[in-house]
Amino acid sequence: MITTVHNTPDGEPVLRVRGLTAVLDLPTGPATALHELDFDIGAGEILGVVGESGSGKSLTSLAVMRMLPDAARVTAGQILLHGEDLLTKSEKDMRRLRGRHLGIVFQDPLAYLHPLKRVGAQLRESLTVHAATRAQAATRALELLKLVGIPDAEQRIDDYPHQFSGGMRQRVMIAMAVAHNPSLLIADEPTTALDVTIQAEILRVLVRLRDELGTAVMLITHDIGVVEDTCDRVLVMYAGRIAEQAGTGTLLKSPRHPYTRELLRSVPHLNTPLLDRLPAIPGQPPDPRNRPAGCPFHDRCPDVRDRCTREMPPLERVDADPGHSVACWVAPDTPVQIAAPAGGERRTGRPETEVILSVEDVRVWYTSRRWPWSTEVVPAVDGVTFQARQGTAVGLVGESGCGKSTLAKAILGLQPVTSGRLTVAGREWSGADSHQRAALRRTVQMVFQDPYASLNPRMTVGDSIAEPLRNYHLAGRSQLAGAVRELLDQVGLPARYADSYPYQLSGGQRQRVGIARALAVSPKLIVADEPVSALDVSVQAQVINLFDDLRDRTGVGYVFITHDLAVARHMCDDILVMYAGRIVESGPASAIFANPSHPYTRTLLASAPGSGLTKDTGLKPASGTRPTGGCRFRDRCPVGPAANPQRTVCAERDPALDAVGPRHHAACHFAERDDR
Amino acid sequence: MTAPATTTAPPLDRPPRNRYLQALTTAKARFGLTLVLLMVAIGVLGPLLLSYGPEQQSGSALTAPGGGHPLGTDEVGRDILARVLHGIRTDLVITLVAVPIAAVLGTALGLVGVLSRLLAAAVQRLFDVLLGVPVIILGVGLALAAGAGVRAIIVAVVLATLPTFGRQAHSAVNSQLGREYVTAAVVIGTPRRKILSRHVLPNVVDGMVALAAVSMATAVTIEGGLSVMGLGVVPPQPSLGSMIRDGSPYLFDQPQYALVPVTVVVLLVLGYTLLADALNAAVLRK
Amino acid sequence: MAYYLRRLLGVLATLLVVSLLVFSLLQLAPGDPATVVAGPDATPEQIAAVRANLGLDAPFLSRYGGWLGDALRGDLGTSYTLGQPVTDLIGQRLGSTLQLVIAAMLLMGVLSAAAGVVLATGRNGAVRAAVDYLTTLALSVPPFVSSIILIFAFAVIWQVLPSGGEASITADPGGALRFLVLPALALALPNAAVLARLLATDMRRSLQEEYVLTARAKGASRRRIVWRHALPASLNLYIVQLGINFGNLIGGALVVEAIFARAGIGGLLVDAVTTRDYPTAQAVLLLTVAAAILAQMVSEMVIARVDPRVKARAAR
Repeated sequence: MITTVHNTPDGEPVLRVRGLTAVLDLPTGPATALHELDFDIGAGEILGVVGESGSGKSLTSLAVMRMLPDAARVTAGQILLHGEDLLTKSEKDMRRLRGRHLGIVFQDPLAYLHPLKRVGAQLRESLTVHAATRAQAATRALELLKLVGIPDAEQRIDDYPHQFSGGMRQRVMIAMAVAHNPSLLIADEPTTALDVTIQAEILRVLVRLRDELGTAVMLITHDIGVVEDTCDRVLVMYAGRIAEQAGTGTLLKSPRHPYTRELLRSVPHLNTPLLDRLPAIPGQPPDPRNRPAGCPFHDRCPDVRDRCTREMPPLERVDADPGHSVACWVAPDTPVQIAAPAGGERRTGRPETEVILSVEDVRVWYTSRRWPWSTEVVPAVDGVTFQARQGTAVGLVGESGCGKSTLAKAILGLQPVTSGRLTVAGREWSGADSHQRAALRRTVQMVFQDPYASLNPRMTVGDSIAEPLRNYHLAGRSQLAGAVRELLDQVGLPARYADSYPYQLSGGQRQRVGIARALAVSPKLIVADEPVSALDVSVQAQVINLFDDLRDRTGVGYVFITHDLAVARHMCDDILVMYAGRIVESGPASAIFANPSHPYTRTLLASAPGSGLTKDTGLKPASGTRPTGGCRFRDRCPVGPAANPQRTVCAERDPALDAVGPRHHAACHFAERDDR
Repeated sequence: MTAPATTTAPPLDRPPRNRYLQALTTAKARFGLTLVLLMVAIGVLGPLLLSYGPEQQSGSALTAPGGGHPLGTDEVGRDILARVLHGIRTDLVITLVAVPIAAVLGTALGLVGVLSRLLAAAVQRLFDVLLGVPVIILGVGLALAAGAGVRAIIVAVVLATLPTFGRQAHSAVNSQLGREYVTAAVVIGTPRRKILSRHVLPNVVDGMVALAAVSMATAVTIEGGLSVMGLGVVPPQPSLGSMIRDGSPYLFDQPQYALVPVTVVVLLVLGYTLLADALNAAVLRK
Repeated sequence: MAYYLRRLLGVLATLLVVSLLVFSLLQLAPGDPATVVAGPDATPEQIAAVRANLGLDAPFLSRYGGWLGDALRGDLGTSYTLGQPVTDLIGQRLGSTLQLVIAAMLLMGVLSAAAGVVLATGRNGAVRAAVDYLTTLALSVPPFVSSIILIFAFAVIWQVLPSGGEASITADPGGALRFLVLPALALALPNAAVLARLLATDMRRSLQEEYVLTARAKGASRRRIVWRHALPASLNLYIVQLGINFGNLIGGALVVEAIFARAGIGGLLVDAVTTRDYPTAQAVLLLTVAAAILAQMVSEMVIARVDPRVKARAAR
């Protein structure tokens, strides 16, 4: 991407932050949240700010807006917008700047839009608070909706936020933020809550607005792929400090800071060779209350030296590159290549093992009854067939609402199937009596997305892990503590954690507890619903490796639900791509990622972060209603009748899941074959 | 194994404190508790120290305070202090009988949703009806059906506060059953009975405690309202409400007659209210 | 439309249950209504004649059906003790109660909204603390207590307002208002305190919502955020509570009327209950409960208009 810094005519960057330091007042006392941040953003430049939870990236954006929460305050530094220090402005002056010169887009567009006000009214408010007349505001509001690409803007302008899809809501948020062509646009995880295809569209809107309006953009994200696709320069934050700052290309290819390097290595990527194990960073990001002395990364750093534990390294320019600076005592003078594989080639092609899960033409239909005489049927899962074998992982990928979570519930017996056969280790849920259900429960277990929500906050970790052991009398009273200790050890947690409560643990540790609880009954199959997406990036690799180790050690099979295609590629032997309750493509991961056959799969892969945003996938926006009869994807399909009107077969005949290669199937009349 | 993460774990030697005790650490909560305990002590112990009974005509009518009657006498020559203290007792009896019954019965009814959705819907309709009827009117209806008196008041308090307990239990159960850790418990094979007792009920009990304090205030209000209308506690038995009714005509000459029970009601209800606030805040804080 | 229809059906069902309950109170009551009508000196034959005359011999359900049918046609029966049609009796006294309830409702709305907004958003700490203490105190003062306190303060000590009685609102509006001030205030204060605290809690929650950050980011002033963003969002709950509290106001009005010696339906009800005048008592009970339930329905329909999500949720 573009790496030149556009400066305003007077040579001044739009935003210049110097020595920004902020303190967070916690019940335990004040803690330094931001420490001497220095960075610039030029006009027309997108600066990516990357960091994990607690790194201070969101706090930085709120500090620039002068909208810090009450518990946080800036104690030192300057925030210069066009050379004027925002920290010296009165609240009244800031109000004039916000919305006009400073715009911000937040993560979850539903929560950030007022639920009771029409979208148009909220948009017009952005204009009228800065002295636009009602008529001007009305005209401009419509213009803005069109600018961010809302179809039928004239009709949609009077809708309420809940009538918009997530992606459309985020477009509205962006429209509000750019209403006055601000000098600086801050986007705080703007696509985290969205599906990959929508994410790509939103990022494209941001890049286009930058190009058209010349806005300086600060893009906060945890996703390296997003940075790669959109940002000119990157700021890597760790524990409230800048660890490294460089142009995107430089940073991704030759990072100097060990944290950046290890982070890049640990994140699975769609286009790099598969590694047997991910090179994970040990430990977890430090608690803001309790940061280590010296370099905050020293306790996780592979290159740690004595000095790192005592002295905090300053952010220093790397000689060769004026735009590259790093805060590290041991940063090498020459760039490190990160491509070096650490664990050897990933084994593929596992031996044919016993089938533990067999799904045959399974349908799960939800019926809702509005009136006693009328029912509405929603086919959440609509005729799905696949198998999972012991010791293998099947990946279920697809957008939210495609039915993958419903299918998971059906596999776990939490949701009855409407028709079809679903057998786990030879037993069926439907028709099973309580005795058989109990036996089935022992064979299939679940790991949840949100490890905090899936643990009872009132129970100790030990009690949570012991619960399944007690349920099946797997350990006597005297052996219980020992069994819990053993399970904790299996997931890499010290035994003393048995007496702690979930709130005392970090996200990654909680997820390990969730895994230990699932392992307690020695299941044959574990269904994992987005098990790493709620975790910090540097912790995800640890948990993925743990899943890998457990499979090798216990022979357990996985059904792995994920929206992250790179994780699916790393973890899974087979991939199922779901769309609108059906499997549209299935096959070995290697085949699917090398030769995606179904147009939907190709769109997903093209939209995945890190794939570049330049090419338009041709995906049409989803209309509120799904087509029935024929291909369910045809209204959005880049190769179907929406693009090629002569392809009427898509509306006439339902495409079957036909072979396009060895064990590789796709449900498309115009599927591409492996041997094309 | 991957890193045994030990570096930043918060101290593990911090057991969660009892939230109910924690609730009582604020000044307001302590004041509320003091008021309630004080009123209970006066109501229970006060009468033991008196030389007159509440229904004993021990002097001439409507005397000013003094001369063996610290608060004077009422219109038929009974000792006002004695009647106030026994009046507190009457209200305490009503509260302490009605509120536990309402709490247990209401919570039980709220929990039937666990058994059957149809039953739950029926119970919720019943609660709708009961909540739709203003409490005083409920009391009047009961006075009509069962005759005025302590019994009718108790039934009125039970019927008026029972739906709030039921609703609370119902929504607590529903919100708990929707939690992911309950799904997790199902998956690991925890029997339904144990899921309810281990994962759901503790949260139901949380809400009950604060509601009980609110209901005690409601009980005093219902007794007072009905007695003031003349449909509550039947004379000559004293209660706070009937003392206010009897004393109000003499506000010009013997203001203490009505004002003393008024003050007692205010302090009692204030105490319950402050306690309820503190308990509510404690439960929300978790 | 379907939403309103469903709400209406629900309310009608509730009213039907209530009417059945009210009517069955008579069944539960000890003693025989006929003895009340026939008088204390009546012979058993006279009582039997009265019973037949009143239709008390008929089975319960058919009597209930007849009563309900008559009530729907506007005939609430004849008072056992006063011999007048119950509709006339209620008509004579309804005006007084309505004046009290409406005045209290207005006071309650104004006081609670003002106190609620100050509690949630007041920037002067001392004022906010004062309002906080006052509402907590008002919460602890049920109407029968606030009445006495107000009478003592304004009628006994300062002697600026009458301690009881009333004047015709048509013949002497000024006088009627003077009589109305204290009872309306006594009735409104405790209910206003409940509402103010609910509104304050909800507005504080609204002010923590993410969309408030969006408004700030637009450059909206704090005043604009409070009045245009937080208050509208909290108004839902407030309107629902307003509807629920209408019932409390009616119930409280009966009590307050007793203290202020106002000739409203409260007195009629008390007399009817003490003299076992069942037709009158049942009619007043049914009327007040119906008013309370209808007020709740109206408030829920209002929020369905204000909040587009309510209907969307109900339609699911």
